[in-house]
Amino acid sequence: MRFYCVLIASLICLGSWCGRAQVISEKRSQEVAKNLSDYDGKWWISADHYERTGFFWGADDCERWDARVPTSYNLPEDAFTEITKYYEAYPDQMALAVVEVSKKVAAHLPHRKPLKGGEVWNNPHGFLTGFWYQTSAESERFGFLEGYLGCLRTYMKGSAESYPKPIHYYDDKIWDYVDSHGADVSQAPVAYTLRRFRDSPKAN
Amino acid sequence: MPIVDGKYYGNDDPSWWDDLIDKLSSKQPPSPPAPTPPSPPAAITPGTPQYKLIQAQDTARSNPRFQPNQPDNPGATFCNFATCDISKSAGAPMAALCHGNRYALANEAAQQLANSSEWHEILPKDAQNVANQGTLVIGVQSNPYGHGHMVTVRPETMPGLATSLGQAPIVNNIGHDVNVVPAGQAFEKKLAPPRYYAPNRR
Repeated sequence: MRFYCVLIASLICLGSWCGRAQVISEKRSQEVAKNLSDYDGKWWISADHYERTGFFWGADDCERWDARVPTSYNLPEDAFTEITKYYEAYPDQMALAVVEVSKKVAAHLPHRKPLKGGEVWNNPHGFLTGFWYQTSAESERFGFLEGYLGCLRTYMKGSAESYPKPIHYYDDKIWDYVDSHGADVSQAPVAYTLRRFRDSPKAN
Repeated sequence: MPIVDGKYYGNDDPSWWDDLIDKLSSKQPPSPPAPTPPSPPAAITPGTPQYKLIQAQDTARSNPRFQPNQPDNPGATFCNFATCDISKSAGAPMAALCHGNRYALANEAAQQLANSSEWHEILPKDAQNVANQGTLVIGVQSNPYGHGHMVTVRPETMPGLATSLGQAPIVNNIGHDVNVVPAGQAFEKKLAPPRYYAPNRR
């Protein structure tokens, strides 16, 4: 009996190797990125863990390397639970931006001593490369583009016009471009590949 | 009223029928002993090397300090720390995994493992079988464009399953993703393929 339980458990695990369950609905895939402050408690509650992680990493990537503003979204994952708890405790503040709530909860989280000696990606945009993009779940990629494009719209003039299409459009374009090119593209930052698909400024 | 062997049996008494069955069945050979149930897989049996290796891999994967892109360490990943921690737990030789007084980066380890007298290279197709015996197997891919990557091969709960599905070896992956996946998902396909190493002494 135990043998068969193990067999069933193995098959379930195998399913998780073959693909991840997080799927962005057709309706959501047509969404256009918003300003960072528009990602609020309602969005947070509806997002899964991967989308939240992607969002923080995308926002942080843009803030650090493009907008050059202090990063406000780089949080440990244990902060996620605290953010959720905050929205649950204060349902009247669901319209408050995730960035504001993250600042509130981050102030109460213990500071962890950095672990020295890992693989430190000092290059612009770090390990957020085409290879990272292709190995990430759909919702993580979607979250990354929400955060990254959201940051561009918030801080970089003209970005709304440069990236007016649905998030899914850029996801498809990046994926296909990385897939059809060599290591020079898969090892390059996703942000660089994304730029290839921005709209040109319209002539007056 | 039936009479069998001089005995009287009532119609509502089935014991004559039971006796008849007994007489007939006594001519049959004794039934063989019940087969021994299969022993549980080594990967889930405490005390086996497979179990210990899996425990070490699970501990590393759930270590919050090995998670990528932490705010106190932005842009950092910890495949080298995780691999070294697991290797220590497995009692593997550590010289090829260190560089001076720190853990070697994946690109450094790729070079050192290839030149080590304490490790030997094994074929990717054998990596899963060796790990299924509870032996530590390290997979490492160097990257001329930037940081390399290293993982440990995961013993299977159902040995042979991943191979039969063309997914072997399965690896305990700790880097910008933290998961248990086929090696094809953990390593970059557009770079030189990863190489696998096992310690000489087990």
